[in-house]
Amino acid sequence: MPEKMTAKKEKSKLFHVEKRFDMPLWQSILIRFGFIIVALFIGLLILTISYGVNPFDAIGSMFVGSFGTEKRIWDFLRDGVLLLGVGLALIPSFKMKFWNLGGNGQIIIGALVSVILMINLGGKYPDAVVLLIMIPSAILAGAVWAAIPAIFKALFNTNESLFTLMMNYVSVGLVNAFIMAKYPIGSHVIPRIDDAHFPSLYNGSLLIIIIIAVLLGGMVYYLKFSKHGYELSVVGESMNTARYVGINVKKVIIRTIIVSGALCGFIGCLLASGVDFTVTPETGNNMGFTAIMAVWLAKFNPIIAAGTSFFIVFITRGMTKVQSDNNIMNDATPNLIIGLIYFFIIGCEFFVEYKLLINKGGKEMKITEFIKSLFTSKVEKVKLPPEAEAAVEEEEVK
Amino acid sequence: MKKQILALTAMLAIAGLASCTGNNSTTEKMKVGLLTLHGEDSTYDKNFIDAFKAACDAKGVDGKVQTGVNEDAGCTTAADNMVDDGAKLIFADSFGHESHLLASAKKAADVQFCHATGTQAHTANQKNFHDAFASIYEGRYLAGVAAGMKLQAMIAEKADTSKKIGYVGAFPYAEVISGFTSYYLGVKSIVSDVTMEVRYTNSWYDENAEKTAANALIDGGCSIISQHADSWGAPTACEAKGVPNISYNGSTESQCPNTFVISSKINWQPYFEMCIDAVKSGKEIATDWTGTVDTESVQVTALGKKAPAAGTQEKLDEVKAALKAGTTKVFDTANFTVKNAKADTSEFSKASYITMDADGHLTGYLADVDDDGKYVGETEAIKEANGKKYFAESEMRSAPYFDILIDGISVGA
Amino acid sequence: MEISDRVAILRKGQYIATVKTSETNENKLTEMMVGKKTTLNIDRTEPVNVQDRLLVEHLNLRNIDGTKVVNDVSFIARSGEILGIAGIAGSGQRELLEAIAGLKPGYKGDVIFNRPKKNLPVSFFHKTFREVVTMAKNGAFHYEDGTPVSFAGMSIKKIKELVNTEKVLFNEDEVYNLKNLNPRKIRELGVRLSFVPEDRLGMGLVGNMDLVDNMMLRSYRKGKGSKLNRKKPEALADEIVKELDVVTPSIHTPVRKLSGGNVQKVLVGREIASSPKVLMAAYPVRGLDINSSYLIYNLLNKEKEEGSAVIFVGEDLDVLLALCDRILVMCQGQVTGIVDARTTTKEEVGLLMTSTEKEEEVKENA
Repeated sequence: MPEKMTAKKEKSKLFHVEKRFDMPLWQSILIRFGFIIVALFIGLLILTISYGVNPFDAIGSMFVGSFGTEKRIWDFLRDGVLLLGVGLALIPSFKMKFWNLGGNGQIIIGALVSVILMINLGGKYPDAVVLLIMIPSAILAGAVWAAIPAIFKALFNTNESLFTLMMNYVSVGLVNAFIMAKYPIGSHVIPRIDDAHFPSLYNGSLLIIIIIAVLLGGMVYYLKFSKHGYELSVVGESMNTARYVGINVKKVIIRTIIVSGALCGFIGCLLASGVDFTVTPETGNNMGFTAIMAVWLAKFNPIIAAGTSFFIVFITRGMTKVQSDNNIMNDATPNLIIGLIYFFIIGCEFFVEYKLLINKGGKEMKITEFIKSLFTSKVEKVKLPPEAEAAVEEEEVK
Repeated sequence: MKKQILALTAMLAIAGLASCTGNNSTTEKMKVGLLTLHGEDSTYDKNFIDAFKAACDAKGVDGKVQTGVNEDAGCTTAADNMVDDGAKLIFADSFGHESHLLASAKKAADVQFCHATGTQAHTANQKNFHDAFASIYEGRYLAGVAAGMKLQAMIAEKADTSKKIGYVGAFPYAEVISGFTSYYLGVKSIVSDVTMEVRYTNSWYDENAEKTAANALIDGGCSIISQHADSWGAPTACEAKGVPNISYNGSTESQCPNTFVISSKINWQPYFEMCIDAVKSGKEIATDWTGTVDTESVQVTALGKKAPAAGTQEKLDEVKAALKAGTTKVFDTANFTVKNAKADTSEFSKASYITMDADGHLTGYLADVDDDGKYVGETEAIKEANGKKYFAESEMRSAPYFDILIDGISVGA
Repeated sequence: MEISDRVAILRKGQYIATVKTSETNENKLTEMMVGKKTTLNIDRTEPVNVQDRLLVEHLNLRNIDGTKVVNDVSFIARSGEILGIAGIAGSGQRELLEAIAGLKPGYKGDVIFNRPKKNLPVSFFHKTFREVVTMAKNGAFHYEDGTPVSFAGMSIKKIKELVNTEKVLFNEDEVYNLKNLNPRKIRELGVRLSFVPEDRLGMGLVGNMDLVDNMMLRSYRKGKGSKLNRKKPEALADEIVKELDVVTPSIHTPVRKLSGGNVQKVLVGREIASSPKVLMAAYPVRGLDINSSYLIYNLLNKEKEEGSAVIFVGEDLDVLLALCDRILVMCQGQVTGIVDARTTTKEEVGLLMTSTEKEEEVKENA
């Protein structure tokens, strides 16, 4: 005798969270995009309420901030491409689940080494020579900076998040020490260095853009088409499998982190000799962390990371323009809006990973269905296989 | 639902783009810009912003302020953006902005760039780049006089009041040293055996460090605190401990009613208005401009309601008149000695630039007026007027160059 | 069938029917479980050309706590034979296989891989020119008439001619001690040892990668330069999907999306693609539907017939008795007995699975 098919009326919760297994790409993009719009909307609302900013003007300002003049467009591209560069440096590390939080420090150490060379060799030797010495030195500095935590992780399984983070402080300390030693008089700044600038093609930004574009291609190749990239993916996805096929996990970890640090060091060199022409404790402007956001949103895909990097730069520059256009004297407000956007973007991941179901009258349904059901009163019949269908009818007849 | 989201987004985007093009209406007003290091939460920058707004309103120009401009290439970018937006006159307010602002000036020869507190204009050979400062040492001296009156009153009330006063400074260089020395000399003119301890925070704006330094000085026995620092850290520390405070950049009475004595400040409005007039009429702006008490550039605020000693206002008026008349010189060499500095053997010692008489008074000093990054003194700064020898501060360039640690002032850890 | 009164059948998460045990039989049940008529049987063939292939000698392995999880295990696996390993779960079977595969560095004992080469010609297919010359110097070869081979004074052309005409013969079998070598080094030695681990998606495959990239796990290092060659793995993936009837939307689907049986088909397919000389499988049919299980048994059989030494760790005694040629029984990390699968009984094996004293006599097939 088949057992009863109808479910007992249990005390069930109003909401039920269910993990999604598959979501078509267009849907996940739409959800993310939708949340960004909501975030922007709320941000603009805050601006309107606090400062009387006209929201349409504000949106306009945001676009002008990045695209208003030719110079702004170049600066936008350059900033976006630099953020992407840091992101490209972090992607291999994160794909391997090695949380390299030391991007800032690796950038700074590269910039510091570059500046030291710029000051001591610049003007005495031709620019090209100084650059030829500077670039490998900065790359090496960044690589070493990342290798130290990596080696400790591989040998002693120390926590890489903490170690790389702490290295950031060390590099800032070194910069401060250098400034105090070399430039003790004044407000603790190294004035703009005039020698050994990164070569400029058409303007200061074009060459940088080209270089990072090449790096992007290189990273795509490295991750998808090279043996190293494959090993990296295996180690990151399943360390057991990596060991099972005899991949030297320690070697792969150290090698990948060195690549990560080296690229950051290179970005530091670009900043020191192509953008800032100096080094400060804030060199890099926190890109080491912003890039984490950019690549995480891009699900560690280098090409999508280009999109997210430019998006982040767009929002940041946009907010600065809104601030200056509306004479908002407070630095905090634009940061608040940007933080709000980040918060929404991260929060929407929940809705991409999980389905939220509402319990109406004992039946669970998706939110959209729930809204629909408020207007209609049809209840769908659950379909059973033929044998069971027959059993249910049997029961109901009884 | 999804379609509606898309439609809304499209509408917003179109509206935004449409509005930004339609906004360049009829303003034929001249555009002027100000770049500040921090925002209004910094007393230093607020001082500039307020003066700037007042000047723009008074002169009927369109003024735009960009806050949060760091002392790095971001400053160049911000200035370039203002040039692109049509500004004809751009000011920057922080010492470290200079080299970056200069880079921008080199690219836009028809725009005037004015830098406050800077030192390079007179050697930079850039026609559209100018430095400005004010003889703030006179303001500090006056504030010191008020502090001295307070200290005298405190001693009269309690005989064992410590004759040590404290000062929270930002960075150890001429602008700060000149400031605290002139302040100290003001106090000394009332209480002749006062000593002062200085602590540096190595930052223009670090509320925590400034508070810590102020507390350390108070705990170390200082009776009165003053500062050259942009946050409210030191004044609020003083208020909490009931120690009188001499402020800078503006009155701190609102948060420190019990301990605020007086504040010295530079009023930038006269300079801003002068520059605006110059650009409007096509005249040149001075390469180095030093505002004085006469031009109303150097001011002291109104005395605090509770803290100052009786008779302070009268004394201030008296000293002010003497400064104006030239009968009192702040850096009168007869009023201080430099024996310690002459004996200094550390790396950045000024001993080789000092010429001292038998009593330890300065008879000659080579000041580092030409800021070429080599920290070498080259310009004779001791002059004579009305029979008195004095250190000619702010006469050969607008930014201060008095950088000697005189006897009576010590630097704390 | 033996103890129930009624049997309820579920298929793919749906309820099918409930029948009285007395009114049904295995075939009918299987048909309802699978959905269509199926015949399931294991054809066990007689071992042919049996040669010693893998000699495990006194293997001892301690785990992190220090307890001996593999205790003085010795046995010989032979080509053309399926050696089953029986024992209650946790008797050390899994650890034993992992140790042999090179995944447990630091074990004590020896694992000797034997390649019968005695009196067989050497070829440049397996050895490089340099290796041949070095081995000849060490007196590893002889001619058909028994004289030892020396290449002293010969031209390169002459040496190559001799080898290519199969005149240079091995003196002895080639023997490698795999002790403490990791899986990659084992492959680099030329030892074709394949291992189907118990943990399919966690160890044998990378769940988020597609079939092609999983095929590459063993072979990605081939080829000069840094670029991966995906052509061969793609072809292999296509072949496996076709031959083993793997149900998947495409070869570019991440393997974690496949059902259990198909995952195992992919894994086993890859491991046998390299024509291994030793094939080890730990619980290869655990959790699989009945169709897939029998497919796996047939694959193991095929490997045996092609000359592999197959080592099969299983839970189902009936299957072990039907599929294997010999059965090694383990209990608490020790070998309690090695029996002939054709003549032993379930009771005998069951007893060995629970006894902890080593039998005085170990029944072994000569």
